[in-house]
Amino acid sequence: MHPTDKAARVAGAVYLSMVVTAPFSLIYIPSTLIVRGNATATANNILAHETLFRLGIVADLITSIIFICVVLALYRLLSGVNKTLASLMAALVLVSAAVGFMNVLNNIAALTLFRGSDFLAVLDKPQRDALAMLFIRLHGQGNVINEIFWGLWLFPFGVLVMRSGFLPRILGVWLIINGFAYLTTSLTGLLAPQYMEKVSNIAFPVLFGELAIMLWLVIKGAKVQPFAAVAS
Amino acid sequence: MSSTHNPGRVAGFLYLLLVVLAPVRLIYIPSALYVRGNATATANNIATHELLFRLGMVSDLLCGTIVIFLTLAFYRLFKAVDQNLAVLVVILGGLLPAAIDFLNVLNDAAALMLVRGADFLSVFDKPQRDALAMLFLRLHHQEIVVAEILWGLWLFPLAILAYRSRFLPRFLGVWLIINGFAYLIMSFTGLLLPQYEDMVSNIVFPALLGEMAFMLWLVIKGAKPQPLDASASLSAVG
Repeated sequence: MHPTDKAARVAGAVYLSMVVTAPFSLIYIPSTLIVRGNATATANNILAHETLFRLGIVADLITSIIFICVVLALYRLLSGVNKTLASLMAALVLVSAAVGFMNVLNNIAALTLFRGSDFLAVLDKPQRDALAMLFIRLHGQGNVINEIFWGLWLFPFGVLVMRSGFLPRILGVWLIINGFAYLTTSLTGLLAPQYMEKVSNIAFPVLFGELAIMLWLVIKGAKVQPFAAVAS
Repeated sequence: MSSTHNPGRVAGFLYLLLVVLAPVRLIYIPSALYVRGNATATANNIATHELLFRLGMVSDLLCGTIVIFLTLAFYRLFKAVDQNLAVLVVILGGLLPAAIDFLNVLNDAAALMLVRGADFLSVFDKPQRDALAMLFLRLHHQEIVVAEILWGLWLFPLAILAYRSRFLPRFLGVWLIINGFAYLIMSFTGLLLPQYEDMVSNIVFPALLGEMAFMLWLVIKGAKPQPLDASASLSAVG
């Protein structure tokens, strides 16, 4: 196997593993445990399924770690195409991973308040639950903010794919559109949250650009041109 | 003269963008919306000017993004001078401050949620919610005080690179070092002797113009990495 092809498949496999952890903490946990606008019901759910909630916290952290590994693997694959763009891509992901790690603290704060340890007894349970709900919301806001990076890193990534010559250009274009979708969703959430749901629904199909490149990297690898192979 | 062939000018324009945007959340929003020591008035101001407050959050995020691009532009400009120092510039001035900047926006998000007072927060009376909002606004300020350490530290490698570069005037490097110390002094004053924070900020203010001078120099004069060999650099200029 050509080394570039091998690097492509490794990057794709690492990338694909995010498909398991990211939706678990981003979609499954909120949809099963969080009752929007109802702090008491959310508290009851989370206390009844504390381990599940904690698994969500761990999944969040693992996703950030995988994200770092993905970008290092992609750097190895694509730094030969353009080193500046590859460094930019890596820098954006590193910052995003830091934000992801710190954001987990919001969920931990919520859990601490829901459990209501002794020192929190000076607050009534409804107040503790409301504060916990505030931190759950903040965790959501943290993801909205981090979506800026989830979008931005796809621009250098997309351009590198387009220029690589060993990956289909259309996937690069799709990644760039995918990047715009994240940026739009994030800015909507920050400036006009009332349209958030509408925009997310419109942007949703575009977000499959990442899945497409993952699958391509794993299944097809990198098609290194024969003459390039000879030259190398 | 095209900026694509002048990495110094690219960095200069990114720096200019930062200098224009950073004061939005740093100075304008507090002066327009905060009422010192009065949580209720502050909360009411934020509630009536919600979009302005949200634009402040977005400007913070833009600044966090710009510093990544800015320090990478500096890396490109200075890597031939000393690659290790150039990497340090990216880490201290770009990646870490960007992460802190982004997280700091969450304090604003928390304050805004409390000011808006969603249903689930009705177990707190409005004065309690306002006080909590004020706490998060204070935390936003404290996180800036903490970040000032990095805003100062990254200027040291940057200053040394400018000083050694031979394609930028040395006095700018010296001014940047003083500027770096000014930020460190401001940060430690805020952490250790907060009662003197305003006084110290006023005293060190002229030192903070070092970044401004450096930025303007890059925008106006630009900078190109030059080969160390003098004759080669002459032909490059032509």
